[in-house]
Amino acid sequence: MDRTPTGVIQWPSLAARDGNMRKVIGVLREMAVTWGPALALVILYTAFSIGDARFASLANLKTLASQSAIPLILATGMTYVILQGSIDLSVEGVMAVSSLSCAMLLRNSRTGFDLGVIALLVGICVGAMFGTLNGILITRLRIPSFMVTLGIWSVTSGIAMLISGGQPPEIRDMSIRGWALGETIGVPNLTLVALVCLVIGYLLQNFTRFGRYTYVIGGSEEIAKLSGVRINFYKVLGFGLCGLTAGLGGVLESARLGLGHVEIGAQQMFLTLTAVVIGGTSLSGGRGGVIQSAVGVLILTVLANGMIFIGVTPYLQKAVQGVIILVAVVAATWRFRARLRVVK
Amino acid sequence: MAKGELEVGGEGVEGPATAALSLSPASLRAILSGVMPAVVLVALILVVGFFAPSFLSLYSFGVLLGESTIILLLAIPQTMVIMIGGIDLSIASIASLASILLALLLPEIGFWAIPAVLVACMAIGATQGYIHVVAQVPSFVVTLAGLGLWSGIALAIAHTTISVDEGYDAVGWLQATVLGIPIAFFGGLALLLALVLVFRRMSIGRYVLAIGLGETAALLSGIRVGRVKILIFTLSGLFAGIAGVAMVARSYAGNPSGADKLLLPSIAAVVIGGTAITGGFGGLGRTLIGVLTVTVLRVGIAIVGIDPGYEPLAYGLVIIGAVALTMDRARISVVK
Amino acid sequence: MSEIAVSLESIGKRFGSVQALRDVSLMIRSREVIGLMGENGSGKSTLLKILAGLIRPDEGNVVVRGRPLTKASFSAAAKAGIGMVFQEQSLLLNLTVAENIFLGCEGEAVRFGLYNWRKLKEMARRQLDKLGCDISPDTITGSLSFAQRQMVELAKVLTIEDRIGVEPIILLDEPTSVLDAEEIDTVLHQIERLRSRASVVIVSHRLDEVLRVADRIYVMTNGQCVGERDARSVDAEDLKRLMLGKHLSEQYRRHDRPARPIENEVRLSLRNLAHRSDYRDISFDLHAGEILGFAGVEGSGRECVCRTVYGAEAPSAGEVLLDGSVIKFDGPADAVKMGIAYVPSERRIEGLVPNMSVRENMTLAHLKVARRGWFLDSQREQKLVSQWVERLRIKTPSNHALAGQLSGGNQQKVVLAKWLIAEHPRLLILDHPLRGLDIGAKAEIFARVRELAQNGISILLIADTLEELLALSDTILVMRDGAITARLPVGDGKPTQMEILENMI
Repeated sequence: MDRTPTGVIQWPSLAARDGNMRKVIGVLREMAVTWGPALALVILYTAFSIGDARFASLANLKTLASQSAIPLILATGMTYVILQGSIDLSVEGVMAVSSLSCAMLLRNSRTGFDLGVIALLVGICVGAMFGTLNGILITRLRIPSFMVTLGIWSVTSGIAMLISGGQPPEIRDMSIRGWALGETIGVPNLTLVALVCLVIGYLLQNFTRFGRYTYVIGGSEEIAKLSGVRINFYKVLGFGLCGLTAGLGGVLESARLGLGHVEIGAQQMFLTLTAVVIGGTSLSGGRGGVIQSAVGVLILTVLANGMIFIGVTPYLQKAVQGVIILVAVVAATWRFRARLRVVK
Repeated sequence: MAKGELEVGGEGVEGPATAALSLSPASLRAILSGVMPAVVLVALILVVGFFAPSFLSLYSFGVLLGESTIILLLAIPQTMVIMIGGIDLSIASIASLASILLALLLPEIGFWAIPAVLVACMAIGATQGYIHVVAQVPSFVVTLAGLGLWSGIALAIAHTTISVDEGYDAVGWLQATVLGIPIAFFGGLALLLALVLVFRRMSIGRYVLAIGLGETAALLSGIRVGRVKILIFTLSGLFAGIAGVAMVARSYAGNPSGADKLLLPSIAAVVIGGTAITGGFGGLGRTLIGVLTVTVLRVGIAIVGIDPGYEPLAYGLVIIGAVALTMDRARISVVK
Repeated sequence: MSEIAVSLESIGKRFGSVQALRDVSLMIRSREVIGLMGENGSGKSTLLKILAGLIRPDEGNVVVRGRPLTKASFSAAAKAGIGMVFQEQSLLLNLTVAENIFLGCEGEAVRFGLYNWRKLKEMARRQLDKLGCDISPDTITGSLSFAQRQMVELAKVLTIEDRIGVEPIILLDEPTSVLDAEEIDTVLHQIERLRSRASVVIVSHRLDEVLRVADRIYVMTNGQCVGERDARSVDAEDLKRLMLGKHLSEQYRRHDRPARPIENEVRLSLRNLAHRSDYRDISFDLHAGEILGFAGVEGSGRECVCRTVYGAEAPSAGEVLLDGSVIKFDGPADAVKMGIAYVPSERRIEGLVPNMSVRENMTLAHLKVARRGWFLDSQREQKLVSQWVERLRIKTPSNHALAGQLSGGNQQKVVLAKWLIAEHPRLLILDHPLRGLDIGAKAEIFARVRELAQNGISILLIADTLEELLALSDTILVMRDGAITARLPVGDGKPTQMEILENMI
């Protein structure tokens, strides 16, 4: 009878009045979360630069910018989903469908279409559509997001295989290919697109109801519900946005490679997820943001690039990311451990 | 291990009232998850048989069962992990790594490579379970990280397949057939039956059930929940290792990403069988039906000559559909 | 006198077999501070939740300014001008203060989905100024102290007056329970200020606070409103008497029995035990066959002490001795192994697994009784379970029925049987063992507990009411704010409920 009302979460009660020591630890922890990743990035960059002079060269800087472009775009969308406390595992599949549907509509080796920019837009829309589908399935069927998106990952890669039919279409629209490989005032075009994405993501996050309510939902769905926030609507929007960025990523990667391919997104989901988490966005939601995720992406890009310079096989990258993701999550949630806590 | 019926409601303030109201969806779910999997399997076999009559022969059933072995070996531990409410996304990567390790070790130490690989895989599984329990990190995060780590290591060790020539005999017997069915399948089946027996007749089965259905109550009843979880994840590693051995026996080679494509089918097999991802409801017998269904789907698509793209498409839809039907939504208040 | 803001008309509410509220009527005038008092489980929280629209009453009406509230929802209540400040707070710690104050109703600060931060901060400033509170609107809420957050909660509730254009009715559920003395003063000061613009209902365990801020006081006992007093003229003793209520049933043995002789053998002793946040410096001895009852309000730390003894919480200092030797538990499993048993208060979540059968639940803690060698012996298990079903008179269709389908009393008996089915425990911890049970079931459990104590089992007890506590215990320990305030032996009509209450609040 005297239960806590639904919709109210328990904050650490008496802990609030514990001594200053606790406060100091809290402030230090806060600082570590805010500045730790950026500091790690600087240290990594400096270390690799000292280790190999070629790493710090302008040419390699350009490579880094170019390599980080697609992950930056993907991480922007993924950040919203994770801020809401969900997860999207379908990124690679969605990228594949977008890539193929776009490539088949551009001038290509398989079909007679030549739709130019419209084809790019179709590719992006396909991504947004599957993202929205993720959101609708999660909110309507009330199934955990990792399960739904795991399923949609499989569905989308199946559809991509059907479109591809074993013969990946080559893109022959040279203007688009040229643009994707080109530079403007010395910056790779795709990096510019990524930066625009990042800025939009940042503005959405801080100046729109969607962005702010994303934090509300991640903070506590129960309080959000109590305050009359349309949780399902904003969740669908969040997944839609994540799908949209996956679509954009797939389309741009295709334009760069000149190929629509089932495996176009290979390893990207893992990379993005790791980047978002080490940037400081917690998997339980509510904390972090797109700028933090961007720092995370840069850390991973520098790490991957630097590892090649010091001669580590690129195959180990995924392994390193796996370890990083685990360490980041353990470090972030270690203090919440309790004897009766149930974690599935 | 299967429970008769799951009661919905309960946790709300008005427990009894909601329980009475939602009785019908509960019993509906019991019927659906009880009979449906078998019906679906039979229907699927008939459909495939209709399009390709040769499919309905003893010979092709033998092939089918052989084909199902590795998915079976992955789905068995996945069932146990899902029964305690967790999930293991790393299991296929561990199997791939096992196949590589075995392919490297067989020519060196022969038969002893098998126990060595199995012990290594158990250690991997135990480590993941230990981290999950001690750091209290959700199992899907730990095993997702594991998925990256183990497949990364497998790829770093062997960039491509390693064929096994010298020392193959140590595993080759698994491919010998009895009645047209490979011994490996009988092995998998025997392991499944042994586990069913263990879970029915020994304390561990009760503990797993209690953890899946009410972990807090299990903890407060003095069950060493952490140990049980670590044990289950260790078994998961062991079975992944066995799957790796079976893969080498089957393809005469170790493949650093050979089993990766089997993760989804193995999860699909578990949920098609009717085991609920919320834990507690389901069982290994159901998973056997799920495994056969998935295999008929795979083989059928090839026999009937449909585009292979339909295969992942079907897994995805089936996973979402089966989870939607079997999940106990009363047990999770907020869906993340 | 001013107009009536809210009136409750014969409100009734049942939870399962328990009548939580019975024919409660009260009214709140505008610009009046009402104190709502009562023991744990007297129904005051339920009443508050009904006012806030969180629970729908089975009978009766909530009438706000002459209009009955038709829909029971938090937002409908808010539209009528009722706002609640929750005990555990409903602020999002990851957002700014301004966002929290206007969550879900940003008004003109958000147009077409776009935030005008300047406007939002201005609006928040205005709300905070009402309280004379100098917190900056763009502070992240998580960096505020608990008392400051309480201010933000108040400011949030005060937005109602601008939104609806009426004087708000503010419900405060234990607003001071986790604050220290200085912070309490600030909060109470604010409540006094609110009187000029709102009606306030405050639920509190602390009598002095209620007497300080309230105009009128309603007292609740056993789901009924048993009295209304003017705060200025009321006598504290009179209020306490009202809170204790009258004896409702003859089921309870009166505590004017002679004190029961207690054996000398010390079963459990705690030495300066402390917990990081919930209690400190707890020492006591529990003898063989003794029933030790804990008295205290919610937040007094008594539940946590019990959980520590059971190994479910880790102490931060001090030691626990069981039969003379120091014990250190890593978890409940160790405690169970040492012969400690625990009947938790959340029966359906912590006590048993509702979706497992009666049989499986009963043997869960001591499966060895159902084992022969390595394997479970189902015949043996069945026989044993049947024995206990009979002995405790558990009403169940069969041993295979799901435990969740039994009535509350029978579920509780299953939980008890779970601990008795092997050899008897040395120490039994009962956390609200009678919660939510009907009178008959209570009496049965009651008798069983006494019998167990007679057999030499030591018992730690937390009960719902003082009445129950007095009827069962040999000794009562009173706790307040995480410390023991009194140790009172029971017998020959002593102590009185009043004595206990004085040490509790």
